[in-house]
Formats: sequence, structure tokens, C-alpha cells
Amino acid sequence: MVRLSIPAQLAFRDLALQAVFTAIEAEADPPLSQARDEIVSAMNEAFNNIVLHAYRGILGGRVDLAVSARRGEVEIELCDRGRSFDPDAVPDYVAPDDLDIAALPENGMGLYIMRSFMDEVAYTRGAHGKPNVLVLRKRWTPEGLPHEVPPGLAAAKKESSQSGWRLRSVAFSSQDIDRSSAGSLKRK
Amino acid sequence: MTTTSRTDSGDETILRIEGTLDAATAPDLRGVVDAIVDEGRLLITLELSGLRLIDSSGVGVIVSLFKRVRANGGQVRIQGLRDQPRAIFRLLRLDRVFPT
Repeated sequence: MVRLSIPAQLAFRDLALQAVFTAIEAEADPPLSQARDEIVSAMNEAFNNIVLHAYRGILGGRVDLAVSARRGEVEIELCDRGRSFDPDAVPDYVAPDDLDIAALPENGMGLYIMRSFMDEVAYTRGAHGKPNVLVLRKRWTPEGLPHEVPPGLAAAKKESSQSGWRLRSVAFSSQDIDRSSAGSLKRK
Repeated sequence: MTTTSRTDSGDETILRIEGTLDAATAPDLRGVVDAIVDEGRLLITLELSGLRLIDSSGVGVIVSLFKRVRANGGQVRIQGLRDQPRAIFRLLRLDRVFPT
């Protein structure tokens, strides 16, 4: 487990990324391959959201980062004490079809990127002195090998891929934080 | 950190973007985009082989350029997209919109 408390400023985002990949490379294998790009992309959006939306660019906020890595899996937890948000209130990103140029969105892609590139994304709104908690989890296998997926998850993956999403939300637990009221970011 | 260089050659403008295009650096690129649009440049090539990382803020600026140039009757072409930026463009299905 790696823990790090970072100023909530964009200039410190690379430090958060460095902590994540140091933890992965020290404790996990196989090599990340393309999962690296996906984790980087999701982490960037998560950190941006905290700095720009939770703290709204106000200096003094902090991001408490916790990274747990083991074979082929990493869990990244980002805590902040800024403004909470309602994942269900975020408009869905609609990927452009039929070259509809005018409809191309210029923002609102961050949550979609997180949901798409990570296997699990869960958000708990802070209350009663507890912080907002965003958890990102990613699993990967060596390139060329089939993804080892437990039967329950396989069914969820199948369902989610049919609806155009990758697996987004699966129940999990943590000894550090009570997530009994955690709001998953599963699309309704 | 982002490095941008603009080269005008006849009707075509080549905009080379290198490094990281993200929430911290995208505002700087907006000024370059505004200038290109205000000058009425219509044939734009984004050369992105040196772009190491992009986030949704960076994508937003490129989409803005694309929409504004297209609205003026022009075209934005992308070349050199690779690695993480390529993964983002594919995810957002922008690779189907931008001529590459």
C-alpha cells in the first residue's frame, strides 16, 4: 500500500501518477502493456476533477491518494474534502456518429473516460466529516492471454459490453473506509 | 508542458503540438486556435507525433478547432497520433470524425 497526501493542484498530478506506477511496478505483474495508457488517462481525469471541480481551483485543498497493487490488479483511492458531485447528474458522453460535427462535445468526457478505461469506478460523497472518495480499479493480463474473469464478473462484463459500456461497477470492500453507502458510477 | 509550433505554407497551416496537452496547458493552445480561426485559415493539419499525453481538456480544444474551422468551410486533418492520445481518440470515437 502506498499512501500520499498531495496538494490539489494540477502541477502535482504527475506526482500522483508516479506514485501509482511505482506501486504497480513494485508489487504487481505482469507488465502493464496498454493498461498503462488507460490508467494514466483515468487518473488524469480523476485528479483534474478534484482540482477543478471539487476544489474549484482554490489553493489549499489536498488529495489523499492510496494505491494497492497486486498481481494484475491495482486499486487507486482518491479522497478530497472539496465539493461533492452527483455522478448521475453528469450528462452521458455521446460518441459522435455519422460525422455529426456540430454535436461533438467539447467537455464532459472525463467520467466517460474513467468508466471506460477502468474495470470499476465507485464514488462516495463526503458527509459528516468524511471525505469524498473515488475508487478506481483496474485488472490486466499479459498481452495475448485471455482475461481471467470470475464467472459473476464475466456475466456482468457480457451485459455491459452489450450495452456499449465496459464493466463499470462491482461491489467491493475496504477496511479503510466504510463504503456501505458508496454510489457506484454504473450507468442507469 | 506543451510546445506548439505553427507553420503557414500557402493555404495550409501545420500546427505541431508536442508534450502534454491537458487541463494545465490547454488554455494556452486556445489562444493559438483563436488566431488560426480569426485569420480564416481553412486547411489545418495537426501534427501530433510528438504529443505524449492528452486529457479531456486537451481534446476539447482540438474539437473546438475542428468545429470552428469546419463551420468556416475548412478542414482539420490529424497526423501522427499514437500511444495514449491515440487510445483517447479511439475511445471517444474521434478517429472516425477527424481525417487522419
